Amino acid sequence: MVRESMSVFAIKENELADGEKKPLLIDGRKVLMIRQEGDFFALSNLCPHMECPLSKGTLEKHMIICPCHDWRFDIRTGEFLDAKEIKAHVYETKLVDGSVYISMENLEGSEK
Amino acid sequence: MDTQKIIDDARSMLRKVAEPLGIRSEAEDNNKDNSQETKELSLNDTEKGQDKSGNVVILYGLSTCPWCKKARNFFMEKDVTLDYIEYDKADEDTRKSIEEECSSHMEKLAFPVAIYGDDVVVGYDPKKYADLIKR
Amino acid sequence: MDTKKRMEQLRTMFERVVDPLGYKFSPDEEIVEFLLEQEVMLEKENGSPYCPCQGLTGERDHDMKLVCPCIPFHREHYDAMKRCWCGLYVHKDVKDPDSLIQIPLKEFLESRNKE
Repeated sequence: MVRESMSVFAIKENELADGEKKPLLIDGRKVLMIRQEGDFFALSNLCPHMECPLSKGTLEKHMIICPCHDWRFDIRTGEFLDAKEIKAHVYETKLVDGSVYISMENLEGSEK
Repeated sequence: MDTQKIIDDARSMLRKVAEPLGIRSEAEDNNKDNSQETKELSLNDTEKGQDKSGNVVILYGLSTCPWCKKARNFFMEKDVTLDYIEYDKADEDTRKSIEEECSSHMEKLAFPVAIYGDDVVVGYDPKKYADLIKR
Repeated sequence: MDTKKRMEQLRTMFERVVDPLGYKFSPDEEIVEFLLEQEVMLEKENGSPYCPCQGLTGERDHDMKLVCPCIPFHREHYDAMKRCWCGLYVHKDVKDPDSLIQIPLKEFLESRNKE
């Protein structure tokens, strides 16, 4: 399998204030963009439990709490805090000239 | 024999006939509003086995739990009186008292819970059940 | 939604959750079908597919830890039994689920503290 890493534009830096989150549809994938303490984090917007939208959850520092059943995830690693083997897919982000790009590598096996 | 006993016995007999047909007595439902001492017995099934010993096993279960049904079947075949109460179908007061009873045994609300005198068995376990009613 | 269809959806979603935890659906297909059907009913009545063998209190903190698969919130206890409380899931190496018993939480905690 050829693994390609592809940077895809996600959002303008000034579209998201610090401590805010926003659901995006990028290349058909549901991505949650979060800006926290100056950094941008992108993870799958579908909770790995029952696919609830994490964008409707509560953000507390680097933790997002799913609105459906209160499952808690670290937005930096995607790890479910009560069982680290379970992860929400995370995308690498980078900021270039006021635009946030996410890395769409490892296409195989990632969520819609 | 007092009147209440006659009514209770008749109700119990009728229930045995009606239950497999999916019928519930209206009087039984109405009884919920009636704050008599007999309330707890009439809320849920009280299975009268061959009650020679006078020993009562209280079994707490859930209507959705297959192990609770297995536990119920186990005790129904034994020489004990079984008081089977479904937590999810019980009224608020009964639920609260079951919650308190379970936490007093340092247990969560994991069903089935069989109580015989001072002894408690949590979980479906025929071996423990046999020991329980031997005592 | 059709009960059968929802049961299949839950099965697909939950398989993905329990697999990385070392669990699988019980090989006892009859009990799996029964429990999944109960969960669909519980979801219709109470909003979530709760464990059919543990009681809800109405307190969110308590009840959310009983949404299936509840393994992450009772991991050590279930690992000791090689099954979850209701028996819907078992450890991947389990072939005969009938050989596994429900160990009461109190008993599990006591035996753990002895070690």
